[in-house]
Amino acid sequence: MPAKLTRRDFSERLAFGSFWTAVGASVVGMLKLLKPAVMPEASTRVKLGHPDELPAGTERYLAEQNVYVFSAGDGVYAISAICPHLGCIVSRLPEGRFECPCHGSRFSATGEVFAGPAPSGLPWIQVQRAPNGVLYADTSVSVPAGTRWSRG
Amino acid sequence: MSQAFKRFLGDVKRLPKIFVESVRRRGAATSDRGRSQAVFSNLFLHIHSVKTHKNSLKPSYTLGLGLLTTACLAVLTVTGILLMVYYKPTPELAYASIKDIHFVVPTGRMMRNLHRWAAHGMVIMVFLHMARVFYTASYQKPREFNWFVGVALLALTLALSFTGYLLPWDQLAYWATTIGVNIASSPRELTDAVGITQYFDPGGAIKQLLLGANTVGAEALIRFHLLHVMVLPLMLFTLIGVHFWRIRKDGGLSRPASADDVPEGEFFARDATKTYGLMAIVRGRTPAVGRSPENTVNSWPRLFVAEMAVLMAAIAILLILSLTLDAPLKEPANPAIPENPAKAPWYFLGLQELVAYSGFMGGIGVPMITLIGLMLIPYLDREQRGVGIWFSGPEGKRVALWSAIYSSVLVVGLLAFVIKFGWLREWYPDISQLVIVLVNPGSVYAVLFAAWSLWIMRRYDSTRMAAIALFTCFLVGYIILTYVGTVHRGPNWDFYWSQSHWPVH
Repeated sequence: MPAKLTRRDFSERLAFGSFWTAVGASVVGMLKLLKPAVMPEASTRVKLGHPDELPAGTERYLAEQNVYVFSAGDGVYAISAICPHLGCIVSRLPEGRFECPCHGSRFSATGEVFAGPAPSGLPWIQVQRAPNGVLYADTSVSVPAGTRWSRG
Repeated sequence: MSQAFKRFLGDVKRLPKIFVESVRRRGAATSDRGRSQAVFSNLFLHIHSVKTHKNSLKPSYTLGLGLLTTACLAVLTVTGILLMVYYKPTPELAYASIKDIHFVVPTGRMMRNLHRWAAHGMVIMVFLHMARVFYTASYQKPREFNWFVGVALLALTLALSFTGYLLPWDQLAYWATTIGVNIASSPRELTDAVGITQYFDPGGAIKQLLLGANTVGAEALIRFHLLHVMVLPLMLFTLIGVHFWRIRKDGGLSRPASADDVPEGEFFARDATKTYGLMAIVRGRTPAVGRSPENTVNSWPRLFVAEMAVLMAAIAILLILSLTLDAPLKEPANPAIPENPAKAPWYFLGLQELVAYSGFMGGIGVPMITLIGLMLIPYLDREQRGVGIWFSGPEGKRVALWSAIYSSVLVVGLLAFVIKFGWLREWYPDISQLVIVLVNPGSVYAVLFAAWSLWIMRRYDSTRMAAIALFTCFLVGYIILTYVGTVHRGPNWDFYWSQSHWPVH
């Protein structure tokens, strides 16, 4: 059984309690400063060109965005080259597969992981046509694998 | 001439002497008593106690490791401040300013090399110091909390080295940091596997906090620089203050109980000026008047001379290393092409080896388990067995030896198996990531080490033996993994017997 809480004890606890609450609130307030309100980066939208400029069979690598763009018979799709394991840039082997230089993750031509530590496949990137008919990819928007802009 | 003027003239003549007296408050430290008072009343000397136990001065006991760590830190602080004069933490200027420091700035190369070597030295010394304290059971009561502070200092040391790695802004820096930060955000592996990332994303929050952006860039460089030169050093120095203060408050360095026995016939300083009076009538034999109550010697000069010798040895070694081996600087950072292989500093390569199976378990899970385990050791092993004795005696030596063998066989065996046959994903490509996060070499090692330690606890009926077993397993595992990551991993993190077998590109 704890000793009876006197009025003096109570006010002491109140004093310490309010002090630490104030300190805590200040710290939380200051931590907010560290969270960037705007991401300092170039636009994540990148112009791919008019669909006619991307005939079926075209392959393109956007080095600045680290994105592979493919044009197949039925549409255009984009796959990110950033390894989902720890962020290295995968390289494309002649047979179409992808391989990460950092920890050896291997991906199929459509980005599915089949070996190595990567927790998931290479992300597919959204490809959309703007009203003026030009295709854009947005590297900040990933879409389910297999999603493509369709010519139909 | 008035009296006051005479006094004034005299004081002007004696000014240097009066000033020195005002500094040291007491007369010249020419006697043991004077030196004791000097140690006692000087802010900088009073980190030491006036008297030092003989056991603490035995080089075979402390190996001078804590002091060597401090020496490295002192060199790091001084050279770090000098490097800051020329270093510019922006992506456009960072690389060029390091190059300037290396090739143009007078003594710049020397300062940079010293900073580099002292950083390596500090990490090694911190590890060895921890091992010394552990194996001599010095973490046990009443030093539990100081061990706890020590583990925090280890973490801070590693954090300082990691944040410093980015600053040259070369290829190695850029990619090692990219990998490091993605390791910090790897809780996403777990939240993704469970499917709650969009509601609860600690990994993403850490990444954003460290980088101030989505990728390593100008914001990240500023943040890492600030952490490296301001935030982490402040925390480090504060905790070091606590660490040193607690050494004194916990009764000096640990020592075996036998160290306090005074051999028959050895007496307190023969020319002691103390006089003794009979204060009480006691039962039993005559009080041991004249017998030294403690096995101590004066800190000044015995301890100070030893300390200066260690400090000078440390600086001599660092100077030789810095004169012969330059700190590396690769090509400027290129965010489009990863360095291959992108290796972290050597002391993280053991973790990088584990990360090559699961980013989360290797980079967050196992290190956290290790750090928390280390911090808890003194609270879970409260036996007070063999304090101040290496390995707590011959039995502990045996346990340590067998644990080292067990750990070597286990770590090398499983590693060889994985290098030869791959791991779960190679056999079952559709396996859930959750299974891989939970079952991978890192977690297998941790579980088997813990099992071994529990078995030792049962066999020897001793938590101290279990602690020795566990610590030795982790230490040996860390050394082997670090060795494999450093020497045997090449491009694509493939296994190579030596660097000469790496493919040329």
